[in-house]
Amino acid sequence: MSQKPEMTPYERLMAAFERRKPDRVPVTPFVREWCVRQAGYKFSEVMTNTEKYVYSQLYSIRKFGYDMVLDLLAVHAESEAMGSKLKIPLDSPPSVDVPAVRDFATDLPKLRVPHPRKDGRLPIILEGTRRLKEAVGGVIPVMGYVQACWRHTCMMRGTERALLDMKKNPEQIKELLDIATDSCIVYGEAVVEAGADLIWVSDPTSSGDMISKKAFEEFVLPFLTRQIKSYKRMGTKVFLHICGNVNDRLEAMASTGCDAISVDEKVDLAKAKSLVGGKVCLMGNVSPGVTLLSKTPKEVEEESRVAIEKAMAGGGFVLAPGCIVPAAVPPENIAAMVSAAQKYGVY
Amino acid sequence: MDIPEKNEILQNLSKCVVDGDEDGAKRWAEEAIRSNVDAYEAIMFGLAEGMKIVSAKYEQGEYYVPEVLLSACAMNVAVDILKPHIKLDKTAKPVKVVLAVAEGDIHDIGKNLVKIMLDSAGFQVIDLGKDVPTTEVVKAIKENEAQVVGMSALMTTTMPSMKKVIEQLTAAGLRDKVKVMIGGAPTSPDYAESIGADRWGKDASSSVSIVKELTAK
Repeated sequence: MSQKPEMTPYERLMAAFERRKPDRVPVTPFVREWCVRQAGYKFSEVMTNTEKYVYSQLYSIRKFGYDMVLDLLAVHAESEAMGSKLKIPLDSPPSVDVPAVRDFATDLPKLRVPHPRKDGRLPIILEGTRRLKEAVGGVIPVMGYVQACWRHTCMMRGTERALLDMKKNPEQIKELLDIATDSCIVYGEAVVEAGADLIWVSDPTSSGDMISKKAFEEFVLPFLTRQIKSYKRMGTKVFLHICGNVNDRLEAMASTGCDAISVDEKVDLAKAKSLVGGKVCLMGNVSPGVTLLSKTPKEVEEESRVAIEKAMAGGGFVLAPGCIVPAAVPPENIAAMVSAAQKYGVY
Repeated sequence: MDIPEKNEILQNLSKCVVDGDEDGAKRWAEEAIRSNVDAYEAIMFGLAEGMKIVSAKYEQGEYYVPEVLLSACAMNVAVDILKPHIKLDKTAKPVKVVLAVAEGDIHDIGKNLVKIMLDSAGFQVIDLGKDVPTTEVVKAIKENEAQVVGMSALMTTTMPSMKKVIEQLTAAGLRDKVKVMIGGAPTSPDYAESIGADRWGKDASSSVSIVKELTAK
């Protein structure tokens, strides 16, 4: 038997996203603060320094040899560009301190879709995407990040208030969602233009741990579909990540038109594969908070092996953590995850 | 003739909480005062009963966070009306619980729900809010002589700060004076054990029974 030529990470991930069989299962640890720490920086210093962030990403992927670089600097950047005030700790990602929309009547009419090349930190992030593309483009896929429209809405309104608005002010929250969706589309277009090969749309506020399937279908799905479909029309790949229990809405997630769905450990990959594996690529689901953070490399390898075994058949699977990798994860555990894909994921 | 009327008020208070009906909750709380229903009873056997039903519905997947928040709104409206009328029992020593969301984490919905549940169950809650520095948590436990501390993290990235709090409690010689419970979506019983917490809570509704167990003599 002749040995198949090894694919580049770009070819490998694209094959998986198109539900074809790559040479082996691609592996994509979602590293943000983790790679920043590996490179010896504090998170707050990379937030406004493209050079240092790009270096962190490149340092990490060259050392650990996984299959995607991530431009994940855009933590709430769209919401910040629209008026939400962030709190920026020294060495962890920022959070929204004061949301932009406190009063619908006075704040909604003032909202404008931000200009990606002018407003907030957006130009800095786009510069990062451009540089990552220059450095590895064509060989390693470059991921750009855009918030899901509902997450963006929560970051402009405050999550608790936005969830209550679903009950108390449904029309106003839908109007905010509509503006959020417009701005996610405009920003996404700039991310694609800057060179992103794929867009990560993430939403920690849409799972079954937060809202009912009915609320998901009424408030989130129509806007999310509009957002994702518009990216698809720009010719980019899209993966949708919703952390938490999404077992009852996997089919709805697949119906948005995304190429891949990324899930955490509350979803069984074998069940997800049989439910939506014919429509989308699946990504998951090594536990970042428990396994990667506090178990041994051997246990990481075993959990990775099980995930691969459940979902690799026929292609269309990417080994990934269930969410962002915490900064304190030991490097050996990331190495163990990568080697598990090489060891058990060969087609 | 007094009894059925009182029951009717309690039942309606409970129902308004379950339905998330703020106007109704306000009306029935005022009715309770007018009819001389004991304010403490109105909270414990009316509103808190309603909240228990809400928790059960949440646990069974019938209610989600927006529904629970709406119920909490109704409950808060009524509690505000009733609280000034509670006759304080000066002999009882309340169990003090310090609550905090992990440093770096601003996801406080779960913690707020825990606060409402514990409040309504009669515990004295010292709520430190969200993104609380580890040293502040330790300080509050010490100053208040709290019997229990509850911490939550909703991000994998902020979980480790709960471990830091426990380490600082040990270093300060306070670890055996306070019970530690943790929760939050990315946490697990395994994780709680690995950082040396006493208990892990699946969701807000389990917090009341956990605090009761932890403080049972």
